[in-house]
Amino acid sequence: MICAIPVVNYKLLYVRIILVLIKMKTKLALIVHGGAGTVAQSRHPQKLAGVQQALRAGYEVLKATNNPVDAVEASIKVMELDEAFNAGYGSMLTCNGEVEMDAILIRGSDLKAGAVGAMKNVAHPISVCKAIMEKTPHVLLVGDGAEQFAKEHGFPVTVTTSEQLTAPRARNLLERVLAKQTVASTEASDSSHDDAPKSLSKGEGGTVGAVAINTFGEIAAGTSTGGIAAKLPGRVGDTPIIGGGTFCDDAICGAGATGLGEAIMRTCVCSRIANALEKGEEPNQACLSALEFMTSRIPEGDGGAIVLTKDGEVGFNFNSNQMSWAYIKQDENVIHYGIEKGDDFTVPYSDS
Amino acid sequence: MNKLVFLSILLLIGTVRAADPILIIHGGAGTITSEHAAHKRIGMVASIRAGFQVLLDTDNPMDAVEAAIHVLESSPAFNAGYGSVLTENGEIEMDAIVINGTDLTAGAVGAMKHVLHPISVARFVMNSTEHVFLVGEFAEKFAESRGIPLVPTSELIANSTGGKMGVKSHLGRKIRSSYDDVGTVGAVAINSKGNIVAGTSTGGLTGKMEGRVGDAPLVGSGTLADDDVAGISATGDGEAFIRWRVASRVASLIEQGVNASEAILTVLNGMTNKIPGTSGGCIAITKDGEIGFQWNSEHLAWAYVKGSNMTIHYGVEKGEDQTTPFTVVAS
Repeated sequence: MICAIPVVNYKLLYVRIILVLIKMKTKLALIVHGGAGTVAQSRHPQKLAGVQQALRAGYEVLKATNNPVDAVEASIKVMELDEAFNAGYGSMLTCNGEVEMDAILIRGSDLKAGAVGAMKNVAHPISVCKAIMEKTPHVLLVGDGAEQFAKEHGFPVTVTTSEQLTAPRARNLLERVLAKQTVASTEASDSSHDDAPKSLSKGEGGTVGAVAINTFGEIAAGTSTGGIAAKLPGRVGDTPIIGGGTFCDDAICGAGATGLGEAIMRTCVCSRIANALEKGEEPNQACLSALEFMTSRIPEGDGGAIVLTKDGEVGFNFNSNQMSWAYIKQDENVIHYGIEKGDDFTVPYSDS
Repeated sequence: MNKLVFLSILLLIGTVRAADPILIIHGGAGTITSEHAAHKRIGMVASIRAGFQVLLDTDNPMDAVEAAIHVLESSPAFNAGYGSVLTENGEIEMDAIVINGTDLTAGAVGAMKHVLHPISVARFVMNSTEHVFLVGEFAEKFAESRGIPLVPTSELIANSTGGKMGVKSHLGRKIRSSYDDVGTVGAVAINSKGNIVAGTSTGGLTGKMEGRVGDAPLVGSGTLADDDVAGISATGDGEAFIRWRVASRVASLIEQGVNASEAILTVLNGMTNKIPGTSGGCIAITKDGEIGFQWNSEHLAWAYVKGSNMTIHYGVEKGEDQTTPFTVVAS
């Protein structure tokens, strides 16, 4: 019996391996957040569980495919399904009681992006963003046009989806916000049990975001949100605005912000994070500088941000009361997560 | 006499910024035929006259920017308001923004139909809501609720630019700017106190998808204003301007001390380098009253006038710098 011995071109194989090794300049890393704001204690467990679950889902994809865009999408899809977060299912409602969502996905290598604003009736806005990025020459689609695009590209879109996206808690919260807006301010409220914001700004937040970097230093960033409770229909926030709520450029970093959308937009928070990093600020400080600038110019605005630098360093910070977050770095293989200032819980990462 | 001493002291301390009122506008970047260029020059001069008169009368840069842009939105020669280009469905959907550089408040609309003056709706968003950006059908309803009359799309279609994409194109979606698209309009004003306002208004890209929003109404992409830095309004291939964050980059360079026009050209060339096949133009006024305007497309329609000089400068072609005196209209 003659065994066929494969003829291997070792020279070619050697060159190929060298080329891949040259391209490999960073270790994998993934960071997610589940929103910055004032989060009632009773909500902490589900937020912490939710960001970990989202992180695991994204990291599995990142390890398996080395594709940061797919990893960011996977993390965000988990949070869009999770009632704990203000995205997809669980989104805050407009003053008319509907779900309208903003989202974005940016690829840092060629700066291509897809984004939606005030889009209804779709369960996974982040996936619609990916389709816009890959299949159209545009970046941002809003309103009915965004919904129409989703329908034409095979996303399930039905009027009942909006009802399916409405969590009882969101409806409850809307009723309380609307009531507060009409009730005289002399009414005392017990803030420890009361998570209904008095004005648009001091709510739980719950916008979700993710940034991933692969072994080639390629970065992707994404954000998804239902926006602020009782917003006007048609209102678009900072999330789908590059340099505002989200940013991604392999030459600098990937970043995502959360908080009062109008304040983030007006001060271009993520652009400021990128600029601060370029000036040599350390990642956590870069996030804080940008947020503090925002609050100094717009006192009613506060929030949080996450960042992954081009070298795979992790940063996050918040000047709101809480921000749920989680991250993992390949060289550590440990999931870090938290929600209060100073939290750094850890759990070893093991493959499922 | 005491008042003079007091003012001098204030000036010395630097709490009173004595600035020269300046207005700069643009009427789009791209390839402009010589026939269109003639119309654009007329529009630029009419717009700058209207806007600067308001600036001199009121010292209110927001009113000046709105007045200047109104003229261009009413003119068929520009891709804004009346004369806007059509979407793939034969509709007109407009984007606009106005930003107050003093407190960074802003108002913007995206993919809004049936309004002649989107810049005014943007201003209402800023002044009468807690939001910055309203889009689509509700932006229109909001305009109506503020007393702005809605008009059918047919009244916004100008013969010179409209009708070309009357039906969904069988050739597929047009993705590149053509000369049909040239004519996003913008204005930046600084008053005697150094308060800066920037505004932009556009019908967007010919044949764009329904609901497509470009760079104009996105803070940091097409427009930006900050009394501590500059006011900026840009025009060109919208998606590239979004991805490159043109206005933010220009502002960063200006903050680092780069000359305004040089900052603009550097940013535009950087954009074209990263995203080949794209181009555009941009105008700016820095916090020190330095003006900048540059483009790496073939043409940019522009005009400016400074209070210290009272001469309108305007042009379309590279190297063109026509002048005409600004005459104050006695009120």
